[in-house]
Amino acid sequence: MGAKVTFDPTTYEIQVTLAPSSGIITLDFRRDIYSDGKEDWRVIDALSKHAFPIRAVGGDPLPGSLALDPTFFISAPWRILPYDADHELIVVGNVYREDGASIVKTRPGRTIIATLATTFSAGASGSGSGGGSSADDVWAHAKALTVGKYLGLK
Amino acid sequence: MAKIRDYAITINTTTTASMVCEMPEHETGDLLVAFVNKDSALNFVTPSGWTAQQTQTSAGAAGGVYTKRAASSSETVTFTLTLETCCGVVIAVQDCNGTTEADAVSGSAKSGADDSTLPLAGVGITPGHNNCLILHGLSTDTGMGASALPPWINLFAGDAAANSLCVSYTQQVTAAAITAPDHWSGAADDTRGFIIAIRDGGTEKDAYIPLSKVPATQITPLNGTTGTVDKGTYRAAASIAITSVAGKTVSGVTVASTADSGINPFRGSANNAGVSSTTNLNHTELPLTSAVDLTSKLGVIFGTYRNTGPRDYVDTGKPSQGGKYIIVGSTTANWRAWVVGGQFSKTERPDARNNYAIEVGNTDTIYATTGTPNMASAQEFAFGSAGFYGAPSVGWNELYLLDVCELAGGTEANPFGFDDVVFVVNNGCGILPLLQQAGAGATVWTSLKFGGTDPTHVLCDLNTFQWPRQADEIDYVDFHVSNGKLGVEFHGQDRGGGDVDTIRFTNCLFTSPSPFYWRFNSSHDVDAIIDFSGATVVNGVVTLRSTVSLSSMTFIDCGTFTQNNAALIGCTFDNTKITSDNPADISESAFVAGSGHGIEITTAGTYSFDANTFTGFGPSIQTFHTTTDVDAGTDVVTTDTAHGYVNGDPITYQKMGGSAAVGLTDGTTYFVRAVSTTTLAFYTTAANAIADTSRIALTSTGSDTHHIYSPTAAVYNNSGGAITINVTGGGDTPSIRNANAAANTTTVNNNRSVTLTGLQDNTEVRVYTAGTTTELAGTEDATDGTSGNRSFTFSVANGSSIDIRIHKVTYEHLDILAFSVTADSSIPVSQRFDRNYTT
Repeated sequence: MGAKVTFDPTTYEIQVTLAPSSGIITLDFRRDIYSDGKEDWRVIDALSKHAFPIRAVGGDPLPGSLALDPTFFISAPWRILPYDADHELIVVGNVYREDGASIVKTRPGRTIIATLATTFSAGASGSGSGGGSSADDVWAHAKALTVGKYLGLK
Repeated sequence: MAKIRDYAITINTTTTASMVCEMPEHETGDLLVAFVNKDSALNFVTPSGWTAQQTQTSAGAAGGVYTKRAASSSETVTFTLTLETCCGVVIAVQDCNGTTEADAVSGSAKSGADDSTLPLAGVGITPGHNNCLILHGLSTDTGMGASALPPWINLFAGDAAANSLCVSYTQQVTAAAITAPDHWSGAADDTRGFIIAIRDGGTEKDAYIPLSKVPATQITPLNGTTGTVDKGTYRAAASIAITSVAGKTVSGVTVASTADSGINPFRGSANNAGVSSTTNLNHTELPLTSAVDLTSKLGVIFGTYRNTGPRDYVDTGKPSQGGKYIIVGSTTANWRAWVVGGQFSKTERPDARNNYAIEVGNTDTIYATTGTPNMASAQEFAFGSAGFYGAPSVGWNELYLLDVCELAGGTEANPFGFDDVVFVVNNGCGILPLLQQAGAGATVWTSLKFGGTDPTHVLCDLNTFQWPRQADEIDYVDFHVSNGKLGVEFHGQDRGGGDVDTIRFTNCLFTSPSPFYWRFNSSHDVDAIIDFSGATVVNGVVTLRSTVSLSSMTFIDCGTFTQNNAALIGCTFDNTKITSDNPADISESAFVAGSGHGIEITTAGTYSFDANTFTGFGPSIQTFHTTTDVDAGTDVVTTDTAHGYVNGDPITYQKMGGSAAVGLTDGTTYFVRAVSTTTLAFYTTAANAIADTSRIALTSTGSDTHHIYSPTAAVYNNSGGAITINVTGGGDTPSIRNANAAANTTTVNNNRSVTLTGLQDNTEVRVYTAGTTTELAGTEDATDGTSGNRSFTFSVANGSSIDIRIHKVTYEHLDILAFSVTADSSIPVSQRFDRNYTT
């Protein structure tokens, strides 16, 4: 089971199970959702009968020990369902829904500020076999290096 | 054994001082054997270079057998005579032992005693060696056209007017005493037999009928000669005893022997000139001196007749008027009559000899009967006609009781063929036209058997064997024999030491408008070599054995087909239902629908159907609930699935042990109207179903599940139990009918195998019905194969559309969606490393 999210194929929700810390939940999409989701898909029969709802591109090695930034596309109608509390949800990673819709689902009655911290700097770090920026890297330089996208979900 | 390469006949009907013999085709090393006969009691003079093996005189005639080892292919022989009529037969025998005459002749030739009593005995011999060709000659005074009785095979049965000669042959596998062959003729006079055994060279052998297997027994030759020759004394015309047949008054007519008009043209036939009458019949009666048992052997008698001229055909009444008829009985008050010819019938040829066969115990097609004839002691015979349009003159000839004609001979390298079959059967059964050859085909008037006694090697390719159509007393009147009574049987043997029969009938056609048997003997050896590839059997009663394996054959309209565990590979069954206790022995075969099922399975079990296809058969099982699915208002039932029937189709209604009475009779065939794709109405005729007339009223009642089956479903489970059919090799899914008892259940698994290859270690594979999450197959970890090249094989129903999901966390997910499974298949998979997965 993923440590921070669970996948519900009946509602097509990626449900955040990690409670906010100091009013903030930070998810590294690559690690906490994509990779953990793959592991869930491998072991949970209820999931493996469905198509895995995330498609990844990038990560390919580039000259100079760089790698193409990974980008993830969530299959419609899957969305991220934030934790059931007022908080700020920060999703780190280049994440889109394949149909261009929002990747985060609303929580009626809750005030949730969802921020997508994306990176489009090819070869930020790492080797050719992995690539992409870590969540900490991104967060540390979020204001300067990334485009914060206020999703205004409430 | 030695084999007859050729033979040539010389006849001098005018006296001559020098018989220059016609020579057969021969080669250097052949043994030339000359049987000669002349009309005087002066012995022959041995020609120069020839050896007199035997020469003897009988009263009024002389005969002998002479030999020479051919030094060239242009040998000649001339016998010096003393102004006599004469005849001779020179036979070229190939593949003889050694190089000299002494090498070729086994022991000494023999001659018999003077004999003038019918049957005319020849002379026997005890060969000193195995596998000898036995040649026999009968030299007679008087031109009488003597012929050897079965099973000796006549080469010549003729005469030179004042004297005659019959030459026949047989084969013997193991040296032992051979009984003298009997002969019959158109007269009785002094005769003497000569016999010689020829040692074989090991590579050639004539076809023959084993001496222990007499294929036909003469009842009367119908030579037209009263007394001993015809085995009875004809009643005078004014004294016939059977004076009414089929309600018609019969006039007696006299019989006369018409010379040289028999099947053997050197013999006469019994000719009776009819009486012109639109009301009466006429016949000649022949009470035999001794009664004969006509119920033994095949119980079928065979004879022939011919119109003296085509005009006599015109004079004859139609079959319904009496045509030409035969009476067979035990007394004059106990007999049966059969019409065997008649004007406008489809079987009588006006200007040719006509055959007829009668199974005396079969009363289905009799013309008339009186009393209760004891055919085991038949003594009364009559031959007559209806002279409705004139006075027909008819020549009757030969009457035999038939038995199975078993053939043997040939070698594996040089098997005997179709022409040999025709010659041996016709000339080994007296001289009867039992196989009427036309080109590469023949109509067969008896039962044939290949193998069973002596080594048999036969190869017929692209030949047709057909049996006559059973008489219907209107158009077809010459074959009064029960369906399936005659036919052909194969009995290959393995005598050890590589002595294995070879029976090959490739690309041959076995057919008849009426059923005939086509079967293998119950003792047919599994090691016997058989080949029927390309052969077709039409309308046969087929019986196979577990020792038989047939491939690439076609069976059409065979009403009875008993498999008996025979292997059938790549065959076609068109309107032919196989009764099978092990259908798994049938593979790669095509079933084409006809009037019934394709396979009736008689033994419960699980069977593989490997690559069999089914075309045109009726729908599979439909069920309905006797209350919820029965609409008593519209008189229709709703089937559990789309039924597949069209208006007028037959169905069989079965309660399968249920008791509810919905208005249909259990086990009855009805005809349906497809009210919709899932509703049916029922009728008693196809016409009513099509016209929607007289729909059967239905009642909604009870709580049974009743069944609707197609009488033309591909498979009929009549096993009394559960049958599971596992379709493999891309075969079709057969439609099913179960016998009418709850215990009969059939499960058909028609899966196709799909193999994924090239999988990474620790890969999970899940297979679902396309567009659903219904899992059909899967594995948590594909472990077959080698590291980095794992495989996973699963089976799903033919025609399935499936989704395949392949999971491995360190590799990208892979989905194969809407994959259509129509054949066994293999899918090479190349998983791509996931650079975005992290732990």
